[in-house]
Amino acid sequence: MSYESLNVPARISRTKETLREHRLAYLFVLPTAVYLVFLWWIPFLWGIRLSFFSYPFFGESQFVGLDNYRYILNWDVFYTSVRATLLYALQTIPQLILGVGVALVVWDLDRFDAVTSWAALAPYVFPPLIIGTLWKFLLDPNSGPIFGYLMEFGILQQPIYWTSDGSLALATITFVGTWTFWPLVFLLTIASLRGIPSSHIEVAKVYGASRIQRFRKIIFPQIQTALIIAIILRVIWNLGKIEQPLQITRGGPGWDTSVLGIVLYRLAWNRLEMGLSFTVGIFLAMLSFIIVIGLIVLFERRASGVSFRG
Amino acid sequence: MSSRSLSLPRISGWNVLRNLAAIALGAFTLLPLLYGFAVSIRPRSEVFGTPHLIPREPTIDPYIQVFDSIARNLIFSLFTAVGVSILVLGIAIPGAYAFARLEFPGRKKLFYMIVLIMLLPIVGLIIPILTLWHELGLYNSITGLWLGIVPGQIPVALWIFRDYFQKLPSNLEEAAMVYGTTQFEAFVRVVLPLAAPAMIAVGFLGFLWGWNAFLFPNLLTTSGGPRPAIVNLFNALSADSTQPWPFIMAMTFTIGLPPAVMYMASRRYLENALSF
Repeated sequence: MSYESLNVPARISRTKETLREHRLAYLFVLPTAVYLVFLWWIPFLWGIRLSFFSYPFFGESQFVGLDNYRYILNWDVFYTSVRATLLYALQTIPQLILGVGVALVVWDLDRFDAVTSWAALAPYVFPPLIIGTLWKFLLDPNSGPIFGYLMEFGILQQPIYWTSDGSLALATITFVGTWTFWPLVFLLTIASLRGIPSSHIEVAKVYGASRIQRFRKIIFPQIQTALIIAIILRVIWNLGKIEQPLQITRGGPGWDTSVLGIVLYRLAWNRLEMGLSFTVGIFLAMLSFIIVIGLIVLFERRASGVSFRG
Repeated sequence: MSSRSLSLPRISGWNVLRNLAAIALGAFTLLPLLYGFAVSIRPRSEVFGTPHLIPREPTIDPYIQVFDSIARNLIFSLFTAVGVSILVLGIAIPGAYAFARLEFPGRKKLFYMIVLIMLLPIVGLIIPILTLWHELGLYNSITGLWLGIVPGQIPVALWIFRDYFQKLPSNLEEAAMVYGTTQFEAFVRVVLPLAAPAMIAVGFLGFLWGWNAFLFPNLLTTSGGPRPAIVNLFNALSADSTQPWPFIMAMTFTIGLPPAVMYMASRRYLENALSF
């Protein structure tokens, strides 16, 4: 029976029937659906509308057409920021190396197993803003211990005032981001490593498989999915970071360390320009979307057996 | 592993190397935290001069000052965190159950929409929600905070629960229904108890998300309103602030320790819930 042939009342009764038949299921997804509509799509569409308006937070909004987009695309800061965002997001690579490396070293350690897991997770269990504050102090040129020790040991004659140098400040927030968020990769990797039955490894050893063979044939296939999930999550989250770099540099000097999220924040907070601010959000969403879809296509092609479908 | 406990521990180059790497890791992650904590229990005069880890004149004065200034905000942090945790569980558990174990038209489409959301940075949503809340009168209210923080966290929670429910034996509910329960009762009495570890994991995560959230609280509350403590920490480092480092570090650890302790307490559950 094709849907086209049904008239409207029949279609309604059919819908009713579907609803009755799957009443429990629809009841269960209702909160999710409400959430999707009211906390996602409505704000999102409202935001799209917002991007065509000049919308000061405590003032009258006014339709301005494509002015916000034109302004952003002609604004030097926007390009500085896109570059900073991409460089900042490169921290995904050291995060991956650290997370997977440490997980492989630790997962079948005989002793200190819990202690090392604890130590590895430590940076991640504090709020990111907390870690940002901590490193802001540790790296403080005047009273922080890192430059203090470097000078005491005679490695440096005087502290480096990294907060006033754009590239150094960007390097600093990227380092702190790496330090803070690599444990997520560790957590996902070690969780899936623990899923390998120890008998598999034992049997492989009995048959004389070398460490490298064991890794390629048993361990890697097991952690592949977890790695892909870790990479995608980290890329998305690294691209959209605000609070930690904001706490460390406030986006400065100038706009040098203002990743797109911080530009969005500064436009909203300092200038109260909501329309302009969300326009930056749209560009950030597009950037993130393009990169992630690219990654998914790459993974789908390379790794057979890994699927993102329902 | 069991075979090893019978013989003496093998001392090989690889094992020595691994243990050394574990120690280096501990220094890499724990020393910065330790130094920060050591500074939080010093008088302010001890911050300058040659660096040293162990405080010469330990004092808890910085913590007393912190509690004097942000006790109210810490309570708002707690309210926010508990509320977010409950909301996340309330939305994600039934939703994930339906996605994982119930058949209904539109299931795939709805789930694709959730996955799609995961691919977008949540920061974009802050501005529209902020302006909407302002128009709806949710600005500067704790409800507004809950509803503002939750959206970004639902997809991950749904994903964890869906994964967990899918791993349960496929005929679980049928078996319960043979004994005369309805499908709903089977969910409440059989499936939910089995999902306890995932509930603990996601409950903790929800608490952390609520406690750690900074942007919404900062943009959505005023200093007289329900402002969580983390915003105070942000303001303590602003350009015109002259707070001494021991005070700031004490504030850092006061706000940072509750989620850290909870995270550690739920580590096992988290590792289970996150194994894909």
